[in-house]
Amino acid sequence: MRDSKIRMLMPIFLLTFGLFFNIAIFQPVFDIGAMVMAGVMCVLIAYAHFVINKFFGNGDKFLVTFVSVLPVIGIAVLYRLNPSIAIKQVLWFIIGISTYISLVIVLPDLKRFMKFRYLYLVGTVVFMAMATFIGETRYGAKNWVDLGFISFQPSEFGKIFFVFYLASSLKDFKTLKSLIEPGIIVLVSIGFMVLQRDLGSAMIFAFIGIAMIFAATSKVKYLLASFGIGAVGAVLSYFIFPHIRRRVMIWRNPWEYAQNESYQIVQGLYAMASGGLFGSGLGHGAPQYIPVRESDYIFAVIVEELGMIFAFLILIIYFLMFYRNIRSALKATSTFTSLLAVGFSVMIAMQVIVIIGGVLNMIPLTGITLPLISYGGTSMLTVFFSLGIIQKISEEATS
Amino acid sequence: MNEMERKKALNRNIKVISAVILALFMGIMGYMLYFHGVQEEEIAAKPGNVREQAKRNEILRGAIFDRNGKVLTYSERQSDNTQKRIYQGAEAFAQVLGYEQRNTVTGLEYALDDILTKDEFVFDFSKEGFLEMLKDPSSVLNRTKEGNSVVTTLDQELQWRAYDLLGDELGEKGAIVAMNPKTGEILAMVNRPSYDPNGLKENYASLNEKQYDDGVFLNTAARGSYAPGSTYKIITLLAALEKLDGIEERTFKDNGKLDVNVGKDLPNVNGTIHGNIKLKEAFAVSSNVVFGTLAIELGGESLAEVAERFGFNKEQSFPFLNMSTSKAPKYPKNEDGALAASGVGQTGVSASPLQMAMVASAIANDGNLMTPMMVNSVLKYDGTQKEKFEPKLYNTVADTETAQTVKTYMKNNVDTSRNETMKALAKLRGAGKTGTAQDFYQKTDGTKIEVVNSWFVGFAPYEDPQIAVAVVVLDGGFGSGKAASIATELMRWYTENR
Repeated sequence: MRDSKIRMLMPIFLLTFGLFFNIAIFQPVFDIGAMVMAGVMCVLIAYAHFVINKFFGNGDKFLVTFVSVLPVIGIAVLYRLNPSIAIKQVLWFIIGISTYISLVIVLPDLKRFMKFRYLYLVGTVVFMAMATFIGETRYGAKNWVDLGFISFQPSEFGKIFFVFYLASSLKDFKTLKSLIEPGIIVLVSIGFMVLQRDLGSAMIFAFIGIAMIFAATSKVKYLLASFGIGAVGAVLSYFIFPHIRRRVMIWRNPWEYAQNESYQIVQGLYAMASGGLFGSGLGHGAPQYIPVRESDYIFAVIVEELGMIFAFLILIIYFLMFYRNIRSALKATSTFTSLLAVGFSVMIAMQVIVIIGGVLNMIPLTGITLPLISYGGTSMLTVFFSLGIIQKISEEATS
Repeated sequence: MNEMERKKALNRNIKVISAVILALFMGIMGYMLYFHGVQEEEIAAKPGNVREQAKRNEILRGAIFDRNGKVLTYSERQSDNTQKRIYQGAEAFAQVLGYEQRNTVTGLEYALDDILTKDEFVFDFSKEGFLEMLKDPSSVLNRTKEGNSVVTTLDQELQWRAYDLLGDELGEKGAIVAMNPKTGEILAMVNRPSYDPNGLKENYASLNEKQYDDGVFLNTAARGSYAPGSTYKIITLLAALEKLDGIEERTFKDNGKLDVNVGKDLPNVNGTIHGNIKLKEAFAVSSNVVFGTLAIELGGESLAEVAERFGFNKEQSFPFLNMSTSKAPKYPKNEDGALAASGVGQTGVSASPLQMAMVASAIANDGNLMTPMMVNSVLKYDGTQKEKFEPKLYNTVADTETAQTVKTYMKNNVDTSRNETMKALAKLRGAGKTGTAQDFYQKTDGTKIEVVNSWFVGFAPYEDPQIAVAVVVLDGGFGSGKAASIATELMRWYTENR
């Protein structure tokens, strides 16, 4: 047991020091700060592995590895872009992983939480609606709330309530009637996202909703119906909202608007095309030309500097993480916890697919963060929270 | 439904969802492969990609020299660390050398781009190299990165002279190609009208509007295509000498016009009647009747076969040099009108001045056509030679004897002429063939007008050819006029001064 833990840690340490050493030597003067940062993270990661494996050995032992590797990559790239942002991100990483561990330590059996259905409902609606009324606009979406001492994206917290709500309301689905309320909540949530022009989140909510409803009901006709409603909704919004039409337009023809609307996409494509299979090397690319390179567009920076193969590996890590998550969902002993795990797994996986697909211009671009890698406290916290829940659920299998 | 059954169904659904997510991940990865394999190169090379620009700027672009070491184009570092390309050759070299500006690279600059932007510096790892570096580390660390330079085959002075001999208006403008028939080296390649690449940024828009005959940016000397007219009779003559027995002894009856069954009859220029003449005289007076007759006798296939030895009907590209495809159509015997006209370089026959210079070169070099070459050598940043290009045989177009017969015929053309220009050329011991071709010319407003282009192809001196030229003057008129006098002047200067 002990040996296997160490074996998992070694490659992570190697990767961490490799990346940060790489950054440190490309500076005019060798950057000790980068090495200190790598050291701090290694200690943190070792601690997380130790706690999870030693005291909670019944749960999933691999999830914590993925949870460590992805932020390390993110922080390394952020450090190369802007060291002060990377330091903040390290703090968020510490807070995130602490949340993750604390959830495992503190939470009692999750099945106890299935009865707070209406609490989740209220939470969902409040957080989804919040930014519509007191929000401020960043990067074209009105999805931030500034409370003076802290600013955050309420929809990120809304996601957690949303998944909890759907899991508790769908856990003992019987007839179509029992689908009416959750259906309305899903539509309302997506509606608020569209109003806030946060199309990425709208898509994620739609996918979570469809996946959870299908998982709970096993009815293909509901699946088709949800896709039908989704399609009609998409077509309607296309005609109602000009900003959606613009997204589609620049997706189909990015080069025509390279200087204006699709500037971001085109700069991302240049970056990725210049990277090639092996990338230009950390610090040797030119990511300063990519807008929002620290959050939504961090994938373009990774492809440019670390290469297509490295990006492939990241996708594989995401999929392995999804696999571990789904494994917990399969082994969960109640429908409630199983649905919770499904909801969170789909949320993270779809976020990866939607943003990477958008950056590659494979699908229309919608701004959302790349889980655990992009800069951003709210997003980091949400993902760690979800993974903490899944880690807790994974203990059910053996207990 | 109890909890157990419910969970069982749930697990089945979860597996379906997982499969969908897996498929989506595979889709993304597949798209990444597609991006890498198909789109990447094109996107990275797009002009909007600032990376490319920044990378190019790191290395000072190499210079381009003429064959005698004179600088034609070079780059200079500016105070803001950008580079400025200075075109010493100016208008005379504009289309041949091309330009490099921001995102566009044309002409020879384009063909040589990889060479000019490559710094060959390698650190000397020997003991001496290290000591040298320790003494003066900045010589290695702070050295300016410089690309390779290129020595072309062009002769700056000849090129400038050639440029001055042409003019900018119809009747004076056109293109000139001069080459060394023994090596294939291109000595001059000139187009007019032209532009000054030094002021391109300011003038680009207005230049772009002037699209007369393919525009000022096109290197028409190599990439234009014109009906070669009577200069094409060199090829018809070669074919006849080779394929028709006793043709030199035959007497032709030239009554000023060749009657054909199908299509238009083929008259001589001005309808002149030459009477009973032999082949040599027919070539000298440029009888359309005789050469039309020969073309009909030879047939389209065998006439085209001879032309193809010179490169007609083939997509030709030489090192650092592209040219348009010359055309020698193969009319069947029953289309005798078109067939006859193709024998005198009309009706579907087309060639660039470079192609016709190759024809003159091949004859001058006793049937051995050398590959046209533009670049002699590549020099590293420190001036040492990196690569040298040797002349290569392109094709043997005729056996020595036949080629020499054509050569004497071309010499005879000059010697028997009473024209003042030809007399001057005879003094240089020059040989050649004039041509007059009906062609079309596109004006700036897009309308096409009919013009009569004046051609001359030839070489000098006859005994030991040093230079072969092809000149076309757009709407230069009938007779040996404009083109011949330009060619004569060029060959005179070259044989006297080089």
